[in-house]
Amino acid sequence: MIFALGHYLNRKRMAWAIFGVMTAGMLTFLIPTMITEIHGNPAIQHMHINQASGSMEGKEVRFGVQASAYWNILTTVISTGSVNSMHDSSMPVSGAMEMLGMMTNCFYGGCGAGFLNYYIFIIIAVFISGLMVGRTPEFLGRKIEAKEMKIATIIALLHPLLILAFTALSSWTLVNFPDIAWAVKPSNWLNNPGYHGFSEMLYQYASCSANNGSGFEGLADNNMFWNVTAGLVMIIGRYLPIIGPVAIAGILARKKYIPESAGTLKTDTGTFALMTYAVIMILAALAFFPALALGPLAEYFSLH
Amino acid sequence: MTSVRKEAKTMKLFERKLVSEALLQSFVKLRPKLMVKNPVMFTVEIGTVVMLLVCIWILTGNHTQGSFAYNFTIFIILLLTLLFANFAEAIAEARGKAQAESLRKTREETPAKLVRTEAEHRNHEVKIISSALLKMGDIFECEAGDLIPLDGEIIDGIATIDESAITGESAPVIRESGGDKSSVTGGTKVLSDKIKVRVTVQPGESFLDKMIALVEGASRQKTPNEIALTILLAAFTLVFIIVCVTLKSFADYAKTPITIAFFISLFVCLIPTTIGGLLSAIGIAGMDRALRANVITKSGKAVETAGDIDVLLLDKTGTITIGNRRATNFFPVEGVNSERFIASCVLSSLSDETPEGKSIVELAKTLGAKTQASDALVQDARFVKFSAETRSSGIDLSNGLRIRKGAFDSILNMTKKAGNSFPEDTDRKVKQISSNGGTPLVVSENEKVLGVIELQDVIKPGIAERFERLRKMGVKTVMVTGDNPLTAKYIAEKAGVDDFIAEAKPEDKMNYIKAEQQKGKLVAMMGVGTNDAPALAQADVGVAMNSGTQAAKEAGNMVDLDNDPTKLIEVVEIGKQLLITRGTLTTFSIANDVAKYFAIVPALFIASIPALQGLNIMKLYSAESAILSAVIFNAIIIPLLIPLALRGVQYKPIGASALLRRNLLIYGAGGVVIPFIGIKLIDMVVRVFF
Repeated sequence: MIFALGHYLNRKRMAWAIFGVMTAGMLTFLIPTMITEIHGNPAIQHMHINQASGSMEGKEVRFGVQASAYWNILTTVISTGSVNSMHDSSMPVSGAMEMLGMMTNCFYGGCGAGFLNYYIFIIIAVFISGLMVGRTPEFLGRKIEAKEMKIATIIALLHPLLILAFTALSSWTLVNFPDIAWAVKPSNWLNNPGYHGFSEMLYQYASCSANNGSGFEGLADNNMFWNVTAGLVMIIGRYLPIIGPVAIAGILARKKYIPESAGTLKTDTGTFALMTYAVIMILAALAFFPALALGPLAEYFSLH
Repeated sequence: MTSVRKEAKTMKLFERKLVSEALLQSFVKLRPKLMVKNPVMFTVEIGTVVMLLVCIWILTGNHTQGSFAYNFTIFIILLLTLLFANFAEAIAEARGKAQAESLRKTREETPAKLVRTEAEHRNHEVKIISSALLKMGDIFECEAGDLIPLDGEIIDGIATIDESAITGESAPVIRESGGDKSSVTGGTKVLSDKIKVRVTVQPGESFLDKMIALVEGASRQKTPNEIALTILLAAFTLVFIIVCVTLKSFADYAKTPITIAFFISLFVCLIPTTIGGLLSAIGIAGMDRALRANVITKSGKAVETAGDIDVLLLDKTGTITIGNRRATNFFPVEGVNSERFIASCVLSSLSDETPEGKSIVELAKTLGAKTQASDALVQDARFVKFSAETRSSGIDLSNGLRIRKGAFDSILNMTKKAGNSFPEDTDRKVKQISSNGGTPLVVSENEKVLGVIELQDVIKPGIAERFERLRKMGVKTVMVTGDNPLTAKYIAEKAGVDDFIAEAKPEDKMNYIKAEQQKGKLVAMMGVGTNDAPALAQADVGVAMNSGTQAAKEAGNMVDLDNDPTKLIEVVEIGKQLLITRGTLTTFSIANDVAKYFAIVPALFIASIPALQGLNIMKLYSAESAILSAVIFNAIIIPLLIPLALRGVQYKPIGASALLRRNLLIYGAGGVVIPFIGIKLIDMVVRVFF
């Protein structure tokens, strides 16, 4: 997709820069996952059990740790959703990385949606870096102004809003109505209460909003509450983010083309790629850090 | 009169008088009606009010929210955050106002000699009234020694005027009715002669008044770029509203009660208060910097647009070259003695008062020719003045010699009429001079060619470097000249401009601007005359010179008080600086959040999840001290950055990518690191108390 874009825009360098950022983002999630999975579970370590093959809980012996860790991340970074091991049994850090893959929801782009979310981040990165070099921001020769920024920020906001708001809703239901007379009582939702249970809920909505389809599992989710809320998140999370970027493209296409000059900020350089990477990572971190701290991070620090 | 400008340049960043006024304004600006314009700071204000209510709640006997002292401290710090932000805006306004006020003071309550309109021509009745009572269309008189009460246009007379009060330039200037130099500015002083002036502005509507209103905020509108940035900042604020609200039920799930003070602290620390608090100060400071460079802007948008300029149209004369051409060489025809030729040249120029004529005499002097010897000859001589028709000037001596000097074709015609041939070597020389960018001036004696004088444009020293700087900024420079294409090309190359319009008529400028704009470029130009007005209006940034006509000043969106054509370069830099300051402070503000998260998040949950101590990488003392330190850091970073906001981030023309790299390193990486250090230091102090 990215290279097709580069081909049609006749900006192959930009395609490479985008692909580079995406790969860097994927590696950022993959490397910690790989390391923790290979090192095995410290709780088991304490019992003096040999874990030469890494953390094998929930993994297929055929694939082993490395292949499982690799696919854990790839499937969450792109919206494939198939799994080759149980994500619920991944180590806490791996769980966090899998969730981040869906929370950033823009590396490589998913099946069908592709480049859309990344494009929103480019608009925001272009705006900030354009200001930093003293020029009204422009992308592909079109000025980025208030209207485009409004759409871009709404789309960028939507994803964290859906994930956090619905996780908050389920947490609230769980705490305040644990024994309400539903088919599955909220107190029976979670296989593992505590931090890991929180991760189970967070993962569920992250996966729905990023229209990923994989599940952390360990969550009793085939019931009224989860089917309805997760369905809602999927509908909103899938369609709205398509309208936004297309609308921006439409507005930009109608604008006058501004030829590049020496003062124009080039969007195919390493510096700009770094800027985009930073914008994506910082936005994800800012929105999800407290939630991740209560889930996988709390779990991680409790283990060590 | 020492110039206002000099005073202004040395004005300190925080003058006592301005600071006290700004302090007062900081409290006035707390009014929610004013605050709501800035969404980021408005949410802080709401948080502050909530904290006040919490404090009262504790006093009435609530025990769930922690100690009164701690909550009250948080309240005070939030209030300070608001006041600091208001102070930044207020001090920027105060500085701008003081600057404009000092210009305005010179003409307040100036006595004006009103000429009664009904008796305008016959009786010449003059009545002295206060300048404040003058209306548009009124006619007043000014004699030597009078201050001009209001902006206007000379309808009668000519005068030398001291404009140092406005421009800081001590050399007097000549203003006369009709033509391009008919406009006078209020506050300047007539040095000689007497002029009648028609008032062209309503009192309170002159450029300075407009500028003051702009700075005061009465008519200040957010620029498109400011609006887009506000949207981005509002989005960040919204993200953190979502984060903080959802955190409530997350915390309930984790069985960790979080106090209201902690919630509000987390929220205020995370939203981009640094840039939110400084945003309007940056905009005002941009206009103020323009005013400091003696450029009056009619809107904040114009300054911002200036930073985006792609093409710059500059008049050749006065901008690129020093006003006039100068003689640089004498080339006699073969067979004519060089000394005799020079002597003839001098004779023909002795009475020539044009700068070209004077430069011929000067050059002859430096070559050692005698310029006085021919006094006897000159005594009864008749001088022939230059006319547009003959395009030549000269002298008829008492001994019957007719010496003429003039344009190549006019002398050619003259010699041909007399039946003389035009010498081939001179013809060659003329072509050579033209192609070198010079102007050939052919000299004849009794319709016979003696030789040719070479006149050359003198390029201003340092101008090539300025164009180089502009090129690095990505601005294309275009020279506009009435010269022929050959000459124009030569000068363009020598001065280092990128393009030129030769044999330019006023509509050529207009067409060039339109063509560039069609290509999506932003064009800036400078203009003086009424015939420039349409082009000034068409250009994205039109800078009219203060000496220009009223029409030109109305058409442009900036007025340069110094009448300095190279001022555009400064204006472009001011515009860029404005955007850069905004961008870097936004980056800084957002990058700060990383450290704040590491300070606050572990503190929030430390009571029920001791394991999260692992996230407390700064090793802050306690939950209370960690949160308090983060809030304090968040507050004091605003006043610390006020000087930067007012002065603007330095602009270096090193290319967009290099500049981004540099600013990303300083304000991005710096923005991540500095709060870690700052919060840790504050924590070391705070731990003594909590």
